[in-house]
Amino acid sequence: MNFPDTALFTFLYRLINSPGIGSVIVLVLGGGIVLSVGLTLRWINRGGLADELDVYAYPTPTLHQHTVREG
Amino acid sequence: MLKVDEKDKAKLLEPLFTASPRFWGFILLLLAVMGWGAFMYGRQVLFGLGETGMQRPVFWGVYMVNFVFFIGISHAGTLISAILRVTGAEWRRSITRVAEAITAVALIVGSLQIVIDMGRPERFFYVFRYGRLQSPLLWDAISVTAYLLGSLTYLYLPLIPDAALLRDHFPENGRRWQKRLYTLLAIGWRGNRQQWLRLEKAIAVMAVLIIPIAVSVHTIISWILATTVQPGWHSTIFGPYFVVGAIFSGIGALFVAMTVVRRVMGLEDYITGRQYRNLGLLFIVMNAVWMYFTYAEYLTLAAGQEANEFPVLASKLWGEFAPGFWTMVALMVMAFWIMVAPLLLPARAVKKGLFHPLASWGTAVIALLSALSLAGRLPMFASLPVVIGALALSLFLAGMGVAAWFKTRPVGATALAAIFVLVGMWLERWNIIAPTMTHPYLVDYATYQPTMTEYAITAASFALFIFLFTVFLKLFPAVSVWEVMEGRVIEAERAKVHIPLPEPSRARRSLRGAGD
Amino acid sequence: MTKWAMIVDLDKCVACQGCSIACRHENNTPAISPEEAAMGRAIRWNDVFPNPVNGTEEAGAYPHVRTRYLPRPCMHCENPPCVKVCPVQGTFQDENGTVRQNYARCIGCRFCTVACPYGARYFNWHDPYWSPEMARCLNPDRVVGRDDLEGPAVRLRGVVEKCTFCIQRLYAAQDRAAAEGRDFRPDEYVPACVQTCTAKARYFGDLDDPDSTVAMLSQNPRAFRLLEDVGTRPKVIYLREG
Repeated sequence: MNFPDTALFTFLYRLINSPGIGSVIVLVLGGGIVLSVGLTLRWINRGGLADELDVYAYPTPTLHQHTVREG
Repeated sequence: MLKVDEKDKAKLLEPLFTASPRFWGFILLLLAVMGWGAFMYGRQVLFGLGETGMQRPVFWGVYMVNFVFFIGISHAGTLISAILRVTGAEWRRSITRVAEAITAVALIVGSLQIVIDMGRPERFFYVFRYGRLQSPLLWDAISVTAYLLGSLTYLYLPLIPDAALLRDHFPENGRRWQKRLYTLLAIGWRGNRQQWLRLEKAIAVMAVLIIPIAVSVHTIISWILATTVQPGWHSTIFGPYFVVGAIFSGIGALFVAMTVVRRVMGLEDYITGRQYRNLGLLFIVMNAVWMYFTYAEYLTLAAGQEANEFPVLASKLWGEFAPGFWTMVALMVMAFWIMVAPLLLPARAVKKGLFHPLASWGTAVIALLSALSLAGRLPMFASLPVVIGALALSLFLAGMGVAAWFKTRPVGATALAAIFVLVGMWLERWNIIAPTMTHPYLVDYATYQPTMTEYAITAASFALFIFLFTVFLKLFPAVSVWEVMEGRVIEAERAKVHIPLPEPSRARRSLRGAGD
Repeated sequence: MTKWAMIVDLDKCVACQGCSIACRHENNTPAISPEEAAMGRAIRWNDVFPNPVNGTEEAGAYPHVRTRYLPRPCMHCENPPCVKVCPVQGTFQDENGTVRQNYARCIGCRFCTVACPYGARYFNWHDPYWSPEMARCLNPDRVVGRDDLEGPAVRLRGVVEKCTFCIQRLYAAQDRAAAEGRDFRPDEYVPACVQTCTAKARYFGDLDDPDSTVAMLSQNPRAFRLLEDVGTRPKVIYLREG
């Protein structure tokens, strides 16, 4: 082998060489992204439940204190 | 019910509910090309990869070039629109949708190239079952997965309010599945303050996250090549070199897509000279950086003349890959000139005879003849210094002649430069992959001639790219409606602020006095 | 731990290509049409070719030519670039340091063939074909395990294959020793190319045993390895022509 014969290096080598560990990382990452996106979308969707009657086609008038121009 | 300008509605929303015979004809054409590719791919699966021109030692060919090219294109979008969003560049608003669509579509087509290139595609899922972290291909699986999911999200998030607009303004006689699609994608969007607050937060977080992911994707693709010990690939600058090339070709793809969308859908009021000017400056910078990296990469090889690496370089500079290599260089130089010359040329110069477009044709012919003589393809018509002088002078005059022409047509000129860059970047990937494959250490030098299978599948890949892009733009507005509406308000507010012009300095004043 | 290694004495090698033929029959590498072979798709786990491979000034011009032939099995590197790049562990280094190939796992991405600086890996561009007479004479040996297929087992199109130091012969020798109730000795096993070598130019054995022939010959001043500067540390060691 091309590395010092210590427990740390052996562990790291096993980490990168064992089949399946890479798959776990891909799946955890992919699953994590899908899950967090799903949660974000739900969070945005729930935002509609707020007790606000005014709706806007774009956010400027409500978020950034510009005057509303009725088009 | 969300409100929308009548003009925006007519230009951006209504075309989505109808389809002309021309549209269907175009779709049919694309389907025909894709069908041809699918048939050839079916043959390749049945008979094996021997149907391609690949052999030993050219184990990777056109599919790998396409893979690197398409993933490079994908940097158009996310990276550019994310960087512009993060830096608050107002002019980005009307082109973000197109850029993000390119990203998602190019990633899908690019990842598909890997499956096409596999000897046993039915074992593709092994990568997700036996994945080994040591292999650069697995780094790629990780980063491309993250990038694909991330860029789809990044495409979708700003689409939510637009989907709600489409849902609210859906015509009575429209197709029902389309209405259901918009309702589904709008995920109950009302557009109240709380929802906007959350959406903007989510977009802001995504824009920051996507930048490192995008950089990692093309770095890792370069590492697939650079982590081997093959001559010409084992290079330390491949990571940044590929990222720069990816952003460069991404801007090129964005320019072409922008121009087509603008022309076909009549969006001249949305995608204006401002977008072309600002993105054009970025294009020039990326061209220069790409040139610098290319030069740096090859200079070290040329100066070192390492026994196994130099034949690779020689094949590019004057060997069998020279036509492709010098075409690439010429395309990039021309693209640079097309973008830069109009900026340097004073408006009045256009009327001078030196800048007459017709003059450039004659000089271009002289330049071509002298270049061919220098390359040994034609007999020398004069002594060497004269030919070189003729080449330099005629190139200069031809460049001057076309410069004025380009100055009067900024959009067409930019699109032309962008096409040059796209072709040049495909050739760049070819010039990196093929020469090293044909010049290995301990195998006879080989030649690589792609077969009809590879041509068909490549054509089908481009057709698939255009197909997915077209279908997307037929279902969703090509311009982010809410962002453009917001931009208008911001512009209007900014216009109210009066910024006094700087006082001309005394030197400038005296200069102007002398001139007039 | 044994570390299988091979010595090739170039002074003795007569470039008869007997090793190539023996390997072909031991390991069932498919025959191929002349057109395909001209394209560079022939599969020769043990190739014999002139060195330098690509004509340079060193080879000289007729009549002042000096052609050196180089028999080339897989180098079974101690630091194998192919193993490092495989995404699914379709190729791996076993406990004896031999680099092996699992045909049941290989996905055909060809990253290993690209990464190998020796060109010692081959891809099955088409399904293999033998004429009926030849098909009757295939070596029936195979190394089979759970999702594991190696050795001379017939390969389908789309997977990579390579020299395995005739791994099936090692297993056969070990099985014989076990059946006879004794310990396995390293000199009971040689690959087919070593056994067949007309000039007895090849030696095979355990590099970790300092008293073995290969270990002693590896200390010979004529000993060198191919492409030592790419850092692969091959376990196939050549003895330079004197």
